[in-house]
Amino acid sequence: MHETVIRTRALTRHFKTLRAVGGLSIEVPRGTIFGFLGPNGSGKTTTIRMLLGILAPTSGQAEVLGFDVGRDSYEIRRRCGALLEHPGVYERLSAEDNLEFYGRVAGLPISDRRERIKQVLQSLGLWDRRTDAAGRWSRGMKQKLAVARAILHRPEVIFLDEPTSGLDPVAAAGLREELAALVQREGITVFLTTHNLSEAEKLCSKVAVIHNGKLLAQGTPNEIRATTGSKAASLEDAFLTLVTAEQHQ
Amino acid sequence: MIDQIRAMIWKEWKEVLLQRDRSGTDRLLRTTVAVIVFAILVWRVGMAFVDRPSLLLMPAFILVFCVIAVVADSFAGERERHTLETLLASRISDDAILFGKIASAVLLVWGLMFLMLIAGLIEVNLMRSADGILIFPVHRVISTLAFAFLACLFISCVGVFVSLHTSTVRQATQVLNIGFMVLGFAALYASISLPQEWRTRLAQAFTTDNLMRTEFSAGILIFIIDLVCLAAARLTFRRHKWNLV
Repeated sequence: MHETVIRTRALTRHFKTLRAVGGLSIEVPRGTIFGFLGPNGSGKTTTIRMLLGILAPTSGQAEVLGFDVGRDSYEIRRRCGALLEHPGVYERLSAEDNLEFYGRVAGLPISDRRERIKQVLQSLGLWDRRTDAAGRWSRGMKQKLAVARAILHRPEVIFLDEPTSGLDPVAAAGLREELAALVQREGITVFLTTHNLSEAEKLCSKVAVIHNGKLLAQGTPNEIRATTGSKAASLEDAFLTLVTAEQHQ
Repeated sequence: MIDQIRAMIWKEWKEVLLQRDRSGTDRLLRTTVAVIVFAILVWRVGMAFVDRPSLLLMPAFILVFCVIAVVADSFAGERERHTLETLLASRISDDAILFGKIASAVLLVWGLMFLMLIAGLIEVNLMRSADGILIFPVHRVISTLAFAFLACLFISCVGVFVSLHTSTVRQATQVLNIGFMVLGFAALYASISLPQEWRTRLAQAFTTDNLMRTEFSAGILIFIIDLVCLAAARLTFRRHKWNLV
């Protein structure tokens, strides 16, 4: 039986009168790539912010690695990595300096830090450009650097908020391959938000569908197809069926 | 937490000092202009730079604007460049971010002021080489550096507070520049509007006999104000309570 690393119960967040996330209950097993699917503005980023403890829930509960997001958010951030809506790289600094800073923040000892920076930059094909200012890089390279930063301190869970958004198809496919390889190599649990259904179908062993802050379905991609009650050909068809049905209610 | 504060200072200094988004020529030009302006000022005041107490604070006025420029960028800059959320999602503590940003601005500008005092002293000595080596009175240097430190700390705390609540660096800089100018003019107006008796008392407080006691009292007062500002900034900056991104 899989251990659950992320568990939410009726997690809710309001911004004044707007309900961004309402009564969300999900479970993410260890060692999986969990796809959190939904259209733009459906509450995916808000959920990640709550799970990382940088946004307080209005009500409900959430645990990551057994730590409560309200009480123990520092412990969660210590054990997790994140690539959020923007790559968040310091563009005036070199790639190496970006990782050096986050390595220091993570408390990696100097010898391990240097070795680990070299390891992650090499594994993502960025080592040769490590002294370039990150601001001169393409969007795809910055995304890769952000992935390198997210896994630098060997986290147990990483949160990836639409990591291939804004990338051209070739760069997106390359990053997807790198991600799949990283998960295999590092044994990390990945919480991946996306509105790219083919991406989710390729990468994720379990998915949840959210719309207007409300959970519509969760399970394996096959289970999601089955819940729609149609012989949908793809996850995308199942997703559209779920979202359209919810809009009509 | 000390290691995280040091990491924060390292990152801030590296971003300020090794800005790669401006050309080297541009930076060289700005530095050269600042050095020339300062050298002309010292040349104009001559010996008084060393022996007249108030003139030792001359570099401090120039550096007030440096503190504002550095500190306005602290949170508003991170927000503008979309790096704040990633920073908040890391394991760095709230206090380490806050104290790291304040310390980097204070130490950078305070260090610059120290260098300017040394540079000014060398210039005066070169101009008056026939009079032997001139040095600042020790207690004057200590009080100048202490006041400059406390003033930098005050501006940094207020600056961080403003930067937290503004969405762009430009907005934060404008609010701080206008705010401190209003504060300066208000203090000036208040001092000239005082009754004659009070002004006489104030003048007496700054005579040589009473100066140290006045400086000590003023130093304690500014230190308390700094502590209050620091506590206010600390209460404001709690990542889970505010939607800081």
